[in-house]
Amino acid sequence: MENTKEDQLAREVLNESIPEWINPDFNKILMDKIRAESRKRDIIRSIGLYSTIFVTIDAILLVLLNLMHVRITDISTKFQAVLGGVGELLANTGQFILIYFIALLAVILVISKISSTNYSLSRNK
Amino acid sequence: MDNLYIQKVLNGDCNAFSYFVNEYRDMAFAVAFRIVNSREDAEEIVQDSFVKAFRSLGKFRQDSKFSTWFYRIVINNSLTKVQRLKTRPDNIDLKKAECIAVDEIESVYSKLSRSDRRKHIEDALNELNMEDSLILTLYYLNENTLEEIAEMTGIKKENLKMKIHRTRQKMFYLLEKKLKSEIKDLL
Repeated sequence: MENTKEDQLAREVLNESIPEWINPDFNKILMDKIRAESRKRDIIRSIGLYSTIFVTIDAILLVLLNLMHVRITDISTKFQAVLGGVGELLANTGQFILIYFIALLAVILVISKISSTNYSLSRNK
Repeated sequence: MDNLYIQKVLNGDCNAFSYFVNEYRDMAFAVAFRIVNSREDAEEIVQDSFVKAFRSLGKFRQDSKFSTWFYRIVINNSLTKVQRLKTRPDNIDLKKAECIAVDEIESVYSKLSRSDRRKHIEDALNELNMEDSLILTLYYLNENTLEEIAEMTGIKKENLKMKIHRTRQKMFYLLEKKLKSEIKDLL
Protein backbone atom coordinates (compact mmCIF):
# COMPACT_ATOMS: atom_id res chain seq x y z
CA MET A 1 0.00 0.00 0.00
CA GLU A 2 1.29 3.45 -0.93
CA ASN A 3 1.87 5.99 1.80
CA THR A 4 1.77 9.43 0.23
CA LYS A 5 0.48 12.49 2.06
CA GLU A 6 -2.89 11.94 0.36
CA ASP A 7 -2.98 8.34 1.55
CA GLN A 8 -2.20 9.36 5.11
CA LEU A 9 -4.92 12.00 5.15
CA ALA A 10 -7.42 9.60 3.57
CA ARG A 11 -6.61 7.02 6.26
CA GLU A 12 -6.98 9.61 9.01
CA VAL A 13 -10.28 10.87 7.58
CA LEU A 14 -11.71 7.36 7.20
CA ASN A 15 -10.62 6.42 10.72
CA GLU A 16 -12.78 9.26 11.99
CA SER A 17 -15.72 7.92 10.02
CA ILE A 18 -16.04 4.60 11.88
CA PRO A 19 -19.62 4.53 13.16
CA GLU A 20 -20.34 3.87 16.83
CA TRP A 21 -22.13 0.71 17.92
CA ILE A 22 -25.69 0.99 19.22
CA ASN A 23 -25.89 -2.24 21.17
CA PRO A 24 -23.29 -2.51 23.96
CA ASP A 25 -24.16 -6.22 24.49
CA PHE A 26 -23.51 -7.12 20.87
CA ASN A 27 -20.73 -9.63 21.63
CA LYS A 28 -22.73 -11.37 24.37
CA ILE A 29 -25.86 -11.69 22.21
CA LEU A 30 -23.83 -12.92 19.26
CA MET A 31 -21.90 -15.50 21.29
CA ASP A 32 -25.19 -16.79 22.78
CA LYS A 33 -26.44 -17.27 19.20
CA ILE A 34 -23.22 -19.06 18.26
CA ARG A 35 -23.50 -21.39 21.29
CA ALA A 36 -27.16 -22.15 20.43
CA GLU A 37 -26.09 -22.87 16.85
CA SER A 38 -23.33 -25.17 18.13
CA ARG A 39 -25.77 -27.06 20.40
CA LYS A 40 -28.22 -27.45 17.49
CA ARG A 41 -25.42 -28.88 15.36
CA ASP A 42 -24.38 -31.27 18.16
CA ILE A 43 -27.96 -32.53 18.52
CA ILE A 44 -28.30 -33.11 14.77
CA ARG A 45 -24.95 -34.93 14.76
CA SER A 46 -25.98 -37.11 17.73
CA ILE A 47 -29.30 -38.01 16.09
CA GLY A 48 -27.45 -38.96 12.91
CA LEU A 49 -24.87 -40.98 14.84
CA TYR A 50 -27.40 -42.89 16.98
CA SER A 51 -29.64 -43.59 13.98
CA THR A 52 -26.67 -45.01 12.10
CA ILE A 53 -25.69 -47.20 15.08
CA PHE A 54 -29.30 -48.39 15.51
CA VAL A 55 -29.72 -49.27 11.83
CA THR A 56 -26.29 -50.98 11.72
CA ILE A 57 -27.04 -53.12 14.81
CA ASP A 58 -30.42 -54.07 13.32
CA ALA A 59 -28.81 -55.08 10.06
CA ILE A 60 -26.17 -57.15 11.87
CA LEU A 61 -28.87 -58.87 13.95
CA LEU A 62 -30.89 -59.67 10.85
CA VAL A 63 -27.85 -61.18 9.15
CA LEU A 64 -26.98 -63.23 12.27
CA LEU A 65 -30.55 -64.51 12.61
CA ASN A 66 -30.57 -65.40 8.97
CA LEU A 67 -27.31 -67.30 9.40
CA MET A 68 -28.79 -69.16 12.38
CA HIS A 69 -31.82 -70.05 10.18
CA VAL A 70 -34.16 -68.15 12.46
CA ARG A 71 -37.05 -66.80 10.41
CA ILE A 72 -37.91 -63.39 11.70
CA THR A 73 -41.37 -63.46 10.06
CA ASP A 74 -42.41 -66.55 12.11
CA ILE A 75 -41.25 -64.93 15.32
CA SER A 76 -43.00 -61.69 14.53
CA THR A 77 -46.27 -63.55 13.73
CA LYS A 78 -46.10 -65.36 17.06
CA PHE A 79 -45.21 -62.19 18.87
CA GLN A 80 -48.07 -60.40 17.18
CA ALA A 81 -50.48 -63.12 18.28
CA VAL A 82 -49.25 -62.82 21.89
CA LEU A 83 -49.54 -59.05 21.77
CA GLY A 84 -53.05 -59.37 20.27
CA GLY A 85 -54.11 -61.64 23.17
CA VAL A 86 -52.68 -59.25 25.74
CA GLY A 87 -54.36 -56.35 23.98
CA GLU A 88 -57.74 -58.09 23.99
CA LEU A 89 -57.39 -58.84 27.69
CA LEU A 90 -56.49 -55.22 28.41
CA ALA A 91 -59.43 -53.98 26.34
CA ASN A 92 -61.85 -56.26 28.21
CA THR A 93 -60.46 -55.15 31.57
CA GLY A 94 -60.74 -51.52 30.53
CA GLN A 95 -64.32 -51.99 29.42
CA PHE A 96 -65.17 -53.70 32.72
CA ILE A 97 -63.55 -50.87 34.73
CA LEU A 98 -65.49 -48.29 32.70
CA ILE A 99 -68.86 -50.02 33.23
CA TYR A 100 -68.11 -50.50 36.93
CA PHE A 101 -67.15 -46.82 37.28
CA ILE A 102 -70.35 -45.59 35.56
CA ALA A 103 -72.48 -47.89 37.75
CA LEU A 104 -70.71 -46.61 40.87
CA LEU A 105 -71.31 -43.03 39.81
CA ALA A 106 -75.01 -43.73 39.26
CA VAL A 107 -75.36 -45.36 42.70
CA ILE A 108 -73.62 -42.44 44.39
CA LEU A 109 -75.91 -39.97 42.60
CA VAL A 110 -79.07 -41.88 43.60
CA ILE A 111 -77.93 -42.18 47.25
CA SER A 112 -77.08 -38.48 47.49
CA LYS A 113 -80.44 -37.55 45.92
CA ILE A 114 -82.38 -39.77 48.39
CA SER A 115 -80.47 -38.49 51.40
CA SER A 116 -81.01 -34.83 50.45
CA THR A 117 -84.77 -35.45 49.93
CA ASN A 118 -85.04 -37.12 53.38
CA TYR A 119 -83.20 -34.23 55.00
CA SER A 120 -85.52 -31.57 53.53
CA LEU A 121 -88.67 -33.60 54.50
CA SER A 122 -87.52 -33.91 58.13
CA ARG A 123 -86.86 -30.13 58.30
CA ASN A 124 -90.38 -29.37 56.94
CA LYS A 125 -91.94 -31.46 59.68
CA MET B 1 -3.37 -16.88 14.41
CA ASP B 2 -6.67 -17.08 12.49
CA ASN B 3 -5.91 -20.65 11.41
CA LEU B 4 -5.30 -21.74 15.00
CA TYR B 5 -8.71 -20.46 16.09
CA ILE B 6 -10.39 -21.91 12.99
CA GLN B 7 -9.05 -25.32 14.02
CA LYS B 8 -10.25 -24.81 17.60
CA VAL B 9 -13.77 -23.95 16.40
CA LEU B 10 -13.80 -26.88 13.98
CA ASN B 11 -12.75 -29.17 16.85
CA GLY B 12 -15.92 -28.18 18.72
CA ASP B 13 -14.75 -25.26 20.88
CA CYS B 14 -17.44 -22.72 19.95
CA ASN B 15 -16.14 -20.21 22.54
CA ALA B 16 -12.99 -19.85 20.43
CA PHE B 17 -15.17 -18.09 17.86
CA SER B 18 -15.19 -15.01 20.14
CA TYR B 19 -11.64 -14.34 18.87
CA PHE B 20 -13.08 -13.63 15.38
CA VAL B 21 -15.90 -11.52 16.85
CA ASN B 22 -13.43 -9.32 18.78
CA GLU B 23 -10.99 -9.14 15.88
CA TYR B 24 -13.31 -8.37 12.94
CA ARG B 25 -16.56 -6.92 14.27
CA ASP B 26 -15.60 -3.23 14.00
CA MET B 27 -14.35 -3.45 10.45
CA ALA B 28 -17.30 -5.61 9.43
CA PHE B 29 -19.57 -2.97 10.94
CA ALA B 30 -17.81 -0.18 9.01
CA VAL B 31 -18.09 -2.15 5.75
CA ALA B 32 -21.79 -2.96 6.27
CA PHE B 33 -22.53 0.63 7.32
CA ARG B 34 -20.93 1.99 4.11
CA ILE B 35 -23.41 -0.08 2.08
CA VAL B 36 -26.66 0.12 4.05
CA ASN B 37 -26.04 3.52 5.69
CA SER B 38 -27.98 2.56 8.83
CA ARG B 39 -26.40 1.53 12.13
CA GLU B 40 -29.31 -0.75 13.10
CA ASP B 41 -29.21 -2.60 9.78
CA ALA B 42 -25.40 -2.76 9.86
CA GLU B 43 -25.46 -4.38 13.34
CA GLU B 44 -28.02 -6.92 12.19
CA ILE B 45 -25.98 -7.71 9.08
CA VAL B 46 -22.76 -8.17 11.09
CA GLN B 47 -24.55 -10.52 13.48
CA ASP B 48 -26.04 -12.60 10.64
CA SER B 49 -22.67 -12.67 8.88
CA PHE B 50 -20.89 -14.05 11.96
CA VAL B 51 -23.53 -16.76 12.38
CA LYS B 52 -23.25 -17.62 8.68
CA ALA B 53 -19.45 -17.72 8.94
CA PHE B 54 -19.69 -20.04 11.96
CA ARG B 55 -22.04 -22.37 10.09
CA SER B 56 -19.87 -22.55 6.98
CA LEU B 57 -16.43 -22.46 8.61
CA GLY B 58 -15.98 -26.12 7.65
CA LYS B 59 -16.34 -25.15 3.99
CA PHE B 60 -13.69 -22.39 4.24
CA ARG B 61 -10.79 -23.74 2.17
CA GLN B 62 -8.19 -21.41 3.68
CA ASP B 63 -6.73 -20.50 0.28
CA SER B 64 -7.48 -16.86 1.11
CA LYS B 65 -7.37 -14.94 4.40
CA PHE B 66 -10.25 -15.47 6.82
CA SER B 67 -10.90 -11.70 6.76
CA THR B 68 -11.31 -11.66 2.95
CA TRP B 69 -13.72 -14.58 3.11
CA PHE B 70 -15.64 -13.06 6.01
CA TYR B 71 -15.92 -9.55 4.52
CA ARG B 72 -17.21 -11.15 1.33
CA ILE B 73 -20.06 -12.62 3.44
CA VAL B 74 -20.66 -9.19 5.03
CA ILE B 75 -20.73 -7.47 1.62
CA ASN B 76 -23.10 -10.10 0.18
CA ASN B 77 -25.45 -9.82 3.16
CA SER B 78 -25.40 -6.02 2.93
CA LEU B 79 -26.13 -6.13 -0.79
CA THR B 80 -29.05 -8.48 -0.18
CA LYS B 81 -30.40 -5.85 2.21
CA VAL B 82 -30.13 -2.97 -0.26
CA GLN B 83 -30.92 -5.20 -3.28
CA ARG B 84 -27.86 -4.12 -5.25
CA LEU B 85 -24.80 -1.89 -5.15
CA LYS B 86 -26.11 1.53 -6.09
CA THR B 87 -23.76 3.27 -8.48
CA ARG B 88 -25.69 6.48 -9.02
CA PRO B 89 -23.64 9.29 -10.63
CA ASP B 90 -22.24 11.55 -7.92
CA ASN B 91 -22.04 14.76 -10.06
CA ILE B 92 -18.49 15.47 -8.98
CA ASP B 93 -16.27 17.31 -11.44
CA LEU B 94 -13.24 15.02 -11.71
CA LYS B 95 -11.01 17.77 -13.14
CA LYS B 96 -11.67 19.97 -10.13
CA ALA B 97 -11.26 17.03 -7.79
CA GLU B 98 -7.82 16.23 -9.23
CA CYS B 99 -6.56 19.75 -8.39
CA ILE B 100 -7.35 19.61 -4.69
CA ALA B 101 -4.54 20.78 -2.41
CA VAL B 102 -4.24 18.33 0.46
CA ASP B 103 -2.31 20.78 2.68
CA GLU B 104 -5.21 23.19 2.69
CA ILE B 105 -7.67 20.49 3.75
CA GLU B 106 -5.27 19.23 6.40
CA SER B 107 -4.84 22.66 8.00
CA VAL B 108 -8.58 23.39 8.14
CA TYR B 109 -9.35 19.84 9.19
CA SER B 110 -7.02 19.96 12.18
CA LYS B 111 -8.65 23.18 13.45
CA LEU B 112 -12.10 21.61 13.77
CA SER B 113 -13.42 19.74 16.79
CA ARG B 114 -13.69 15.96 16.56
CA SER B 115 -17.48 16.02 16.34
CA ASP B 116 -17.44 18.61 13.54
CA ARG B 117 -14.81 16.67 11.64
CA ARG B 118 -16.88 13.52 12.01
CA LYS B 119 -20.02 15.23 10.76
CA HIS B 120 -18.31 16.62 7.65
CA ILE B 121 -16.58 13.33 6.87
CA GLU B 122 -19.89 11.51 7.22
CA ASP B 123 -21.61 14.01 4.90
CA ALA B 124 -18.82 13.77 2.33
CA LEU B 125 -18.87 9.95 2.36
CA ASN B 126 -22.64 9.95 2.00
CA GLU B 127 -22.34 12.05 -1.14
CA LEU B 128 -20.03 9.51 -2.71
CA ASN B 129 -21.74 6.59 -4.34
CA MET B 130 -21.93 3.38 -2.33
CA GLU B 131 -19.32 1.45 -4.31
CA ASP B 132 -16.78 4.27 -3.99
CA SER B 133 -17.14 4.70 -0.26
CA LEU B 134 -16.97 0.90 0.20
CA ILE B 135 -13.73 0.71 -1.79
CA LEU B 136 -12.18 3.53 0.25
CA THR B 137 -13.20 1.82 3.50
CA LEU B 138 -11.73 -1.50 2.40
CA TYR B 139 -8.49 0.04 1.14
CA TYR B 140 -7.70 2.65 3.78
CA LEU B 141 -9.55 1.47 6.85
CA ASN B 142 -9.26 -2.28 6.50
CA GLU B 143 -5.92 -1.99 4.72
CA ASN B 144 -6.90 -4.73 2.29
CA THR B 145 -4.72 -5.31 -0.75
CA LEU B 146 -6.02 -4.68 -4.27
CA GLU B 147 -6.27 -8.46 -4.84
CA GLU B 148 -8.39 -8.85 -1.71
CA ILE B 149 -10.68 -5.94 -2.64
CA ALA B 150 -11.07 -7.40 -6.13
CA GLU B 151 -12.03 -10.76 -4.60
CA MET B 152 -14.47 -9.17 -2.18
CA THR B 153 -16.21 -6.75 -4.53
CA GLY B 154 -15.86 -8.46 -7.90
CA ILE B 155 -14.26 -5.32 -9.41
CA LYS B 156 -11.31 -6.01 -11.72
CA LYS B 157 -7.96 -5.52 -10.01
CA GLU B 158 -6.57 -3.54 -12.98
CA ASN B 159 -9.31 -0.91 -12.57
CA LEU B 160 -9.08 -0.68 -8.82
CA LYS B 161 -5.92 1.39 -8.43
CA MET B 162 -7.24 4.17 -10.64
CA LYS B 163 -10.67 3.92 -9.04
CA ILE B 164 -9.21 4.30 -5.55
CA HIS B 165 -7.17 7.32 -6.64
CA ARG B 166 -10.19 9.02 -8.23
CA THR B 167 -12.49 8.22 -5.34
CA ARG B 168 -9.97 9.55 -2.83
CA GLN B 169 -9.74 12.82 -4.77
CA LYS B 170 -13.53 13.00 -4.96
CA MET B 171 -13.70 12.58 -1.19
CA PHE B 172 -11.11 15.37 -0.69
CA TYR B 173 -13.07 17.59 -3.06
CA LEU B 174 -16.31 17.07 -1.14
CA LEU B 175 -14.52 17.48 2.15
CA GLU B 176 -12.92 20.72 1.01
CA LYS B 177 -16.34 22.09 0.03
CA LYS B 178 -17.74 21.22 3.46
CA LEU B 179 -14.73 22.57 5.33
CA LYS B 180 -14.70 25.82 3.34
CA SER B 181 -18.29 26.53 4.26
CA GLU B 182 -17.44 25.70 7.88
CA ILE B 183 -14.55 28.19 7.88
CA LYS B 184 -16.78 30.85 6.32
CA ASP B 185 -19.29 30.25 9.13
CA LEU B 186 -16.55 30.58 11.72
CA LEU B 187 -15.34 33.87 10.25
